[in-house]
Amino acid sequence: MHELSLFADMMNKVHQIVVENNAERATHISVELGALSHISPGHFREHFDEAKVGTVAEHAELDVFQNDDPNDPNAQEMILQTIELE
Amino acid sequence: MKARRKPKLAVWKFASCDGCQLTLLDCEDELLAVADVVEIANFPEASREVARGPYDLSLVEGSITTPHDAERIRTIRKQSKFLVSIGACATAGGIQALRNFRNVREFLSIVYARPDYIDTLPHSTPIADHVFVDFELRGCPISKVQLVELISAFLGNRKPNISSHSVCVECKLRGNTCVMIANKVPCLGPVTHAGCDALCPSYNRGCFGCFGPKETPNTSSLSHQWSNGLSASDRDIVHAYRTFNAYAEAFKKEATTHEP
Amino acid sequence: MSHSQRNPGGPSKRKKITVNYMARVEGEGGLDIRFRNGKVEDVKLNIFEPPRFYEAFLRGRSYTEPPDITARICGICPIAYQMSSTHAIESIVGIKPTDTLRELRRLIYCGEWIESHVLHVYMLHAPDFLGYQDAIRMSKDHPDLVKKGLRLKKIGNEIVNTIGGREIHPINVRIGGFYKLPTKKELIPLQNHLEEALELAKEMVTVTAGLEFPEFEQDYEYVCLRHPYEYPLNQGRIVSNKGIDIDVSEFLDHFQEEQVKHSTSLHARIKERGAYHVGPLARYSLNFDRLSPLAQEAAQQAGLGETCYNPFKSIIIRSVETLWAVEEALRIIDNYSKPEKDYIEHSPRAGTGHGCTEAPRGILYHRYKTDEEGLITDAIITPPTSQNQKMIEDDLWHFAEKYTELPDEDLKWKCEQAVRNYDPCISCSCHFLKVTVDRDGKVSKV
Ligand code: SF4
Ligand code: SF4
Ligand code: SF4
Repeated sequence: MHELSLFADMMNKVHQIVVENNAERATHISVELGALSHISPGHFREHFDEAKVGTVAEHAELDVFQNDDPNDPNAQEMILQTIELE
Repeated sequence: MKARRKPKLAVWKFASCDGCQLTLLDCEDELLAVADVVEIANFPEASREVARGPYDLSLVEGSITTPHDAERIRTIRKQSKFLVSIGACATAGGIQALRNFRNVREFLSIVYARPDYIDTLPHSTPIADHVFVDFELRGCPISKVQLVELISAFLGNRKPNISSHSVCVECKLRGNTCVMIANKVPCLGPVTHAGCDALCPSYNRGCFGCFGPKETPNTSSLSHQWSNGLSASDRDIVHAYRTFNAYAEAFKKEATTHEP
Repeated sequence: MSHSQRNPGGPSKRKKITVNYMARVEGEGGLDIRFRNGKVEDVKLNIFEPPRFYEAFLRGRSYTEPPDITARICGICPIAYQMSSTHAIESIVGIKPTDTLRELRRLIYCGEWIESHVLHVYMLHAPDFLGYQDAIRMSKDHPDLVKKGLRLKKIGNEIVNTIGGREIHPINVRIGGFYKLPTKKELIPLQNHLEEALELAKEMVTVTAGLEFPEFEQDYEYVCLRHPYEYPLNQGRIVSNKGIDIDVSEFLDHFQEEQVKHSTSLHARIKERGAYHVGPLARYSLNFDRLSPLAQEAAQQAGLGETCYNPFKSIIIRSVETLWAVEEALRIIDNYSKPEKDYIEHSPRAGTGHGCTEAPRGILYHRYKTDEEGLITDAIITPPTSQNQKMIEDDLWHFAEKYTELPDEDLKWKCEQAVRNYDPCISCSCHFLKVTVDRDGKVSKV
């Protein structure tokens, strides 16, 4: 069940970027899920809603994109694409 | 020998039980001698030390089960002059590779509490599916004798002297009575790669193929013998080929032909 | 693939950053310590993956297969898996190897205890204590010490080799007994070597007793097996120092695993209580009276009491257990005479079976359910190191509290040492310990 770990790692990265940029919070996050990444956008959103409480992403909007191409080199990946901070 | 830079040996672990790495530590008589002629640059089971690459000889244990691992092995390949995969996990995906058969009807017929559970388990693939491998040392675990021969060959700048003939050859050299002929015990010896010195038949047990397929194995003939001569069921045959080397080509094919 | 339209307006200090960062499995992170204002806020240990694959793959396999398949969960303690699984299956098919077959199983287990403990003490733990990166480097300054360690380990391996066929993933263990029993003659060389091992093991206790130990004690709840007259290996009731005393079949009624939020690890806990501690300290503290007089004396001379709550002293306790195992092996070989039958006949049966034996690292519990054809319908395997995970995390918390001032690199070494007390089977832990330290938001990976 690696997607939980991957998820935790991604949240850490969000936190790190906010801190590195001397910002206070993330306002928008966009994530891309590969076709073979073993987690669906709905599932991801569920996790996110639960995990964001008490973190810098608490009030962030989330956009999740599903890449349907299983032959994409990143098909197994979960990619944090962009973050908006303030 | 003249003072030359000692070759750097590194041992890498992926999805594995550690048994194959441990085989090197189990060469108690040879270990310090080996440590004398190579620099053990990276061996987590034995040392905290991690020396930077490049490495002259990398031994890789375990199969690739995550994208992170796939990336890691590519980095290791770039840093290694010779890369040798050791053990069934690294050479054939190990028993974790049973996961790769998710589309097999047999699996679907098993009742799971969480049917989607199987989806979350990663594929398990051998090292050679990801990078070029200079040599594959078979076995689960590998043989101490073959490992020492491999390291000697590498130090002597020659090809390892390791045969890929069947367990039967070793069995006869050892003077065993064939358990299959004499006791009607199913034995995978005729199709399995030698290296264990015919261990199981020496203990009155049929070989269960932990060294994987030999070169050009005649699995269909053996399965025929098992079904007709030994009353083995299709399920027995599938089970026999689907263990630690389930994903090796010859074993994979044979098991698939016998699926109900 | 389309990006949603964003209103480009909004507060001017809003910044958009393109990251394209691929998430990594945090399990590979290993240990995360978070400090806030100089105090420990959180410690997360996440290196021990439960053998999920095996529990799944065993379904649909024949009841005779678990000993070979589960052995592959751990290359250092395959016998433990073979023992727990055979006992569990045997309780389903209704057979119970007694007398010599039973003794031989204890003998091969002794071999594994010796090999595993010596491997840990000499190759991994002692170098830590003495400040070396590894035993090879240690052998440059202490050649005799390492050679003796290797010799003792080899003798342990010889036991497993002689009874089991080979040291790693032995092939001779089966439901009902063994495929082929050794003759007394074949055990004689072992006997001679074990006499040698006795001296080496005594020395091991003395050497480890002389190391320096930090003052660190915790009020652990120890869980282990307890047998009417033996130091526990394959049989006994499950007991604890805080009131548990149950039959092996009741394991799941009292111990449970719960998923920890946002990670792949499971935390084992005693229901309605909390973390617990399995392994040599547990066995020692609850079974001191079952040790041989020689082992007891050696323990006392090493400065140990009848119980021990300092996890760093586990290195001495492993040495004492090694000494006991050598003696036990000698006793079994002395009394050995080859039985008629290598194994007890059996046929498949439907049912549920439990097996719990003492692996070098602590109790290892297996439960199987089978159908009338003898096919496995369910498997649960609980390794000792994953049972200890919560315990280790707690220890690390206290440790980190003590050493907040240390620079990250030194903190990491100290934490590794603390983790080493539990002799984590690196294979149960899929990765080498990677430590991430977060001090008030600044994250550094060590
Ligand atoms: S091949 Fe076998 S012994 Fe080697 S790592 Fe894999 S499971 Fe362990
Ligand atoms: S016992 Fe097995 S390995 Fe030995 S000769 Fe017969 S078939 Fe071959
Ligand atoms: S299963 Fe076959 S290859 Fe493996 S040890 Fe036994 S005889 Fe050798």
